[in-house]
Amino acid sequence: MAIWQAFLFAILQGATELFPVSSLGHAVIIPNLFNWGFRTSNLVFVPFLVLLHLGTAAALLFLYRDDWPVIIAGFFRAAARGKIRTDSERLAYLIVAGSVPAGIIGFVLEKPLKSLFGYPRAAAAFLIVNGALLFGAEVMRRRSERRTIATAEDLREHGTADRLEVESHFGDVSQLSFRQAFIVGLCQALALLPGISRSGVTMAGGLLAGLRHEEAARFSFLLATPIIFAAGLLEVPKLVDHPAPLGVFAAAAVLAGLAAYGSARFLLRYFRSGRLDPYAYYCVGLGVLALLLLR
Amino acid sequence: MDSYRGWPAVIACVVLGLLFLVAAFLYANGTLQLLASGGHKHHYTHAVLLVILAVLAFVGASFLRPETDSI
Repeated sequence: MAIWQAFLFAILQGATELFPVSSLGHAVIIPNLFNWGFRTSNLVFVPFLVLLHLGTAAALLFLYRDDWPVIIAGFFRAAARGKIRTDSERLAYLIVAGSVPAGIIGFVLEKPLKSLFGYPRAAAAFLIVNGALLFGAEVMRRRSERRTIATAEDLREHGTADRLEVESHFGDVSQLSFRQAFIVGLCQALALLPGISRSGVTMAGGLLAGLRHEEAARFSFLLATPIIFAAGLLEVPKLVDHPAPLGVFAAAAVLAGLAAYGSARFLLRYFRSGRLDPYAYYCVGLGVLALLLLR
Repeated sequence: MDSYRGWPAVIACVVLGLLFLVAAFLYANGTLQLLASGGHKHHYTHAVLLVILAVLAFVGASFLRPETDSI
C-alpha cells in the first residue's frame, strides 16, 4: 500500500465510519473498484483498519469528552449501590446492554466474518441490504409520525422548521428501555458484515425504538466507542506480527480521527431535522454500481 | 428486575462470575482451546472477553441483592 493510498483510505474510513453508509463496505469495495493494487484480504489490512477505527474512537471520545467520565462514574456508582438512580447511570447500563450482543457475536464469529473482507461483491450486496434497512426504518418512522402527531397533509405542507416540531414528539436516550437497548445492540452485531453500517443499523434501531433522529445518532456514536476500542485493543498487537509501516499507519489513524470528528459534528447537526433517506439511496446506488463493475 | 432479586440469584451470578474468571485463566494459560483457533497457545483475547463477562456477572449480582430497609 502506497503512502498516499493509506492517507486517502484513512480519510475515506474516518469520513464514512459515522455516516450510515458502512465504512467497512467502502474499505473493501473502493480499493478493488479503483484497482489500488493491494488485497483487502491481506493479513495486515484488518489491523490497519482497526488502527483507523482507533483514530475514529478517539475522535468520538473527544466529541463526548464531558459525557464519558460521567457515564463511567455512573456505571461504578450504580454497580456499588445495586440500583440505578440518575440518567447518567442509566445511560451507562444502556450502553452496556447495547454493546454486549455485538461484542459476543463478533468474538465468536470473528474468523468467518473476516473471510468476507476478501469478497468485494459480497460487500456490495450487503451495501444494498444496508440501504434497504435504512429506507425501511424511515418508512416505519413516517408511519409512526403520522400515527403520533399529525395527518399526512400536515407533514407534506410543513418545511424544515416543522420537522423539528415533528421530531420533538419523539424521545431521547434516557427513555430507552434496556430491552430496546439490547435490540439496538443486536442490530449493531449485523454491522460485523462488511457493507452493513454500524451507525446505520443502530440509528435505524433507535428510530424504531422511538428516539429522535439526533438522539438515535447520539446513542449510536456512544455505542460505537467501546466496541471500536475493544476491537482495536484485540487487533493492534497483531500489527507487530506483520511487517507494516507503523509510522504511516499511525499518521493515517490521526487523519481518520480528524475526518470522523468533522463527520460526527456534521451528522449531529444534520439529524436535528434530516432523515436517513439520502444515505439509503447512496448505499443502494453504490452497491449496484459495484456489483456491475466488480468481477 | 425486582422480581428476580434475592440471595439465590446473587449466588448464581457470583458463581457464574467465578466460572468466567476460571475460564479466563485457563484460556490465558493455554489450557482451554474451545472456540479458539491457532493450535496450542495462550488466548489472551478470549481471556479478556471472559474477564469482562465476569465483571458484568458481579455487577449483576450487586443489582440483584435484596433491598434492605434503611433507618
